[in-house]
Amino acid sequence: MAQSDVLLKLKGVKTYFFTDEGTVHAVDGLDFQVRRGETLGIVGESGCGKSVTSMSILRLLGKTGKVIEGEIMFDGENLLDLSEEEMRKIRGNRISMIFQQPTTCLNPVFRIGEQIIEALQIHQGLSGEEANKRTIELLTLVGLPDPVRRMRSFPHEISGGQAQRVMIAMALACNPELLIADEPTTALDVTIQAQILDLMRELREKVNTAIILITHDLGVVAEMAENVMVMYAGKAVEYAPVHALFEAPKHPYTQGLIASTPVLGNVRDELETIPGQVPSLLNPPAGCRFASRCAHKMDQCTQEEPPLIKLEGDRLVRCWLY
Amino acid sequence: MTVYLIRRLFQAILVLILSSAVIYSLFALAPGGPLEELTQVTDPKNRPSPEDIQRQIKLLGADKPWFLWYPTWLAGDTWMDKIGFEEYQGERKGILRWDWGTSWKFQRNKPVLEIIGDKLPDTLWLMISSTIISLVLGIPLGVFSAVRQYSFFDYVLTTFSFIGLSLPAFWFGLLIIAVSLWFKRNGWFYFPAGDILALRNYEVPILGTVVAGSLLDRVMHLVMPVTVLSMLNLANWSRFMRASMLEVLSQDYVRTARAKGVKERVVIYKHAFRNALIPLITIIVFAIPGVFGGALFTETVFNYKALGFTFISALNLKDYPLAMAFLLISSILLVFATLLADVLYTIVDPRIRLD
Repeated sequence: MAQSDVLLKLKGVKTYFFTDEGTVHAVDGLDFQVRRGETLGIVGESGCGKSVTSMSILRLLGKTGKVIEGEIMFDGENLLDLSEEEMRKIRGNRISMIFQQPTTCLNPVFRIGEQIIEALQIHQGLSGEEANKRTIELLTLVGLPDPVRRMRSFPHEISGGQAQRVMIAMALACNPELLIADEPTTALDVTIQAQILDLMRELREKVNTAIILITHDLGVVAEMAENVMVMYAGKAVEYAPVHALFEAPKHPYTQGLIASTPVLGNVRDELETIPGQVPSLLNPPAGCRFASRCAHKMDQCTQEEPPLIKLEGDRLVRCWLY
Repeated sequence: MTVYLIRRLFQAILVLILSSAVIYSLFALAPGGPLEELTQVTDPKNRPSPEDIQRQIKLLGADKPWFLWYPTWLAGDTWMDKIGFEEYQGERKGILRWDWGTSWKFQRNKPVLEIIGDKLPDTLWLMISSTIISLVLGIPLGVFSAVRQYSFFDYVLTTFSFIGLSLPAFWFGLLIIAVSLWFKRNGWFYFPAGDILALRNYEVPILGTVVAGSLLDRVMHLVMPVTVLSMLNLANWSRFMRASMLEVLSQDYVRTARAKGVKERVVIYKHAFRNALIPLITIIVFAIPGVFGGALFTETVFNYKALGFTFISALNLKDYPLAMAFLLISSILLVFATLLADVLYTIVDPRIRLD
């Protein structure tokens, strides 16, 4: 049982982009797993490889990107070994995805209903009538008011929050086992953010979908996730249950990240910042990638890359301090 | 939508009145003119008498004060008595009442609308076939090229369209005429180098005798000018389509479609193509006035005596009524095309509403 409990397992995944300027090591050896029904938060600043990870899982990296090493086991199958056609049958069906800018993610020339129906017809082969009915159900499920009329709306006629509800409805259309949410609330107003998060939590209970929640917003992770993986410059630097992470962050980067989050009611003149910049992924430095910005830097850090060190309480951290 | 259309119609009328005034002024202000030839004859035997010249001036209506010229052209002079100019009362109805005047030189005394009507079918043959060929080939080529960006095919197409855009029509025309004549001299299959239709039956290898004036004869004569025109449009439109498609393929909703498990073919031809076509409307619709105008250079090079050729001749011959009719009809079509483009946008792009 323990084995089949794991839905998704990444082992040593390396995704590189081959550009004119050189090879970008966007994801450089990533291991993590998601159990059925679990919500895993992936946190990190822009450009740390969060989104590339999700695109690697769905194999939608475009022409320049490629997973050059590792395996992505989904329900016992390596997604990297599947044919394009087999992979297509998984996308939107068993693994689906929602994105950051819901308004630009919907095709402007097709009605909302058509776009959801399309997913249903591709994967479930529903007839027009059935697909129609199911679409109304889905739109009701995600709390879109007046779904019958809304189906006939074009994407520009609805707000960003409503568009994200539509995207979620589309993603859930085929009852996926895994939902990848890439910054699902970043582009939305704060009040709408809360509504969308509530909706996702509610749906997680109803549909029992595992969720990978990618965000740079620690607040969102704290609210939604059970486990958190912190990424930095293409690598996982810390992995921990969510409460443990916030109570006692182990990696200096995680500590900096949490310290730089504004806390409501706690008035300070300046927020903490992490000095320095993310290293170029074209030529990642040897040793620990965070070393140049780290307050606890030791000689060892620039010479040898720390492994993921197991700590008690199901935690992993990539740092020589432990 | 209806309100918008009515408003646009009024705007269109205003634009047309303005452009007709500009067209008229340009011709009125141009140096030389219809009387030049009468006054500048040096041969005493052919020199018109002052009475002849006066009669000609009256015939042209140039004896009127200048501020009555344009109104006469526009609305005729049958109503001059009503505004106190009985002496200028005449028979003209003006272009508003469908009296566009008669040709001065090109085909003397023939109504200009009749001349244009006679030449129109030949121009339509030429322009419509080249437009259709360019669209039918150009759009798929552009899409294909965008989908395979930086592939061998893409490089071939972009190079080809670069050459097509750079070649002047008259040069390319002369080149293929030369090639065709060389083929003919060697006794190989060839296309006739000029004219709209042949005067006499002629022999072509493979096809045998081509009957002058038959459909086959027409097609044979169309091939080369259509090739030249299509080459230009094809280069232009395929490039445009490629750029538009590339733009759309990088949009978020294309990624959504892929993430939804849509087949790549459907992603391209349904999700992306529909969006990529939107900017193409402008280009296609503005080909309409071009269809009327004919192809000035191409028609001249191939001695294809249709509208473009007639327009050039009218200008050279100082045949003002004919030349002005051309310009006016072109501006009407242009205004109409703009309106059509606006309406088409609302049909293709749901984000655009005309209110």
